[in-house]
Amino acid sequence: MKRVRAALFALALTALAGAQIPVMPPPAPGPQIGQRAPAFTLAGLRGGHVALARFRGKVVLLDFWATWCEPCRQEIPKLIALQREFGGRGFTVLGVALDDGGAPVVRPVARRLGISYPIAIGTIPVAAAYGGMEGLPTAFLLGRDGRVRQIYYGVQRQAELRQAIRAALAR
Amino acid sequence: MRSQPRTWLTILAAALLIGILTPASSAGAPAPPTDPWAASQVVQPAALAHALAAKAGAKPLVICVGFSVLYQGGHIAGARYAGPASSAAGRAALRRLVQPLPRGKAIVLYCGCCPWAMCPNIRPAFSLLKRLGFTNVKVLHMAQNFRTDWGARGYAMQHGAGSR
Repeated sequence: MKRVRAALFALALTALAGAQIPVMPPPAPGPQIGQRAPAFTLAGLRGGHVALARFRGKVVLLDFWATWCEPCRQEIPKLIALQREFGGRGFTVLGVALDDGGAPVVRPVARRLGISYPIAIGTIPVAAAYGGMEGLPTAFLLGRDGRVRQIYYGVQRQAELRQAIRAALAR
Repeated sequence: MRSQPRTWLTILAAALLIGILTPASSAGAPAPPTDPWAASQVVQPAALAHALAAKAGAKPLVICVGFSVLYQGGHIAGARYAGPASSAAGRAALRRLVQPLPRGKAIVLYCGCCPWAMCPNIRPAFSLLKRLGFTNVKVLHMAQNFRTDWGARGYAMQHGAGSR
């Protein structure tokens, strides 16, 4: 009986630890320029699912961010402007929010910031598939073929993003 | 007409006074956070990397008080994870982690989620340890973030969940 109790206690501890900090798979180097972006299907902020494959044929700016990340929040108005400017021409921003609290935490912030592009709720494995996130924001510009054209670490100048999007759309 | 220069001087002085007295926050810029530490309690990344790499000498306990996704993406080799000290859960985890330690234990706290002045975690973490009576706590100065100030400089790193 004591053994069973001990085993149950150990199991409960493991489950608790797992709930507190989901374990990231062994680190992958992440997609490099020219490589195909890892596929994912994540929960969407507005319900349903967001699959990267759904955007094949579009130029995608995949933006990993979090609500606690002040530079990320500062960059969002620029991304909204890019979505407005290029959204009708085969481009989309796709935000992947990496908050531990998920949609309940992200939703009010997205609403307050007026985010007009799709937002997916990120997971640790997806972050790992993209090389692990040592800092945010981290963004990947994907071409119409789903391959990585640019990787951006930190806040970018809007002019540079615009130029890169134009070039990707022209191909 | 003779009083005109004096009038201009008065206007200029008033404008300067308003500029000095108006808090930065009212001009749209957030007021810089107040640091709860002394300058001597801030350690630079190069100094910590050197101390951790040294074969001899006692090493401090390094604790990450940032967000789990960033810790798992890459953290200081050997660093323990507490959690974001901006949240009650993160502060509780930090409290649990340090509870058994002697109050004179050398501890270095770091976050690196955001530029130094914007970091929501490092200040509450330091204040908590101070309140708990720890006397040898330092904070690691991450000017930009972990990637720029630690990872990109080639200092020792680990990936994954690590140890709490």
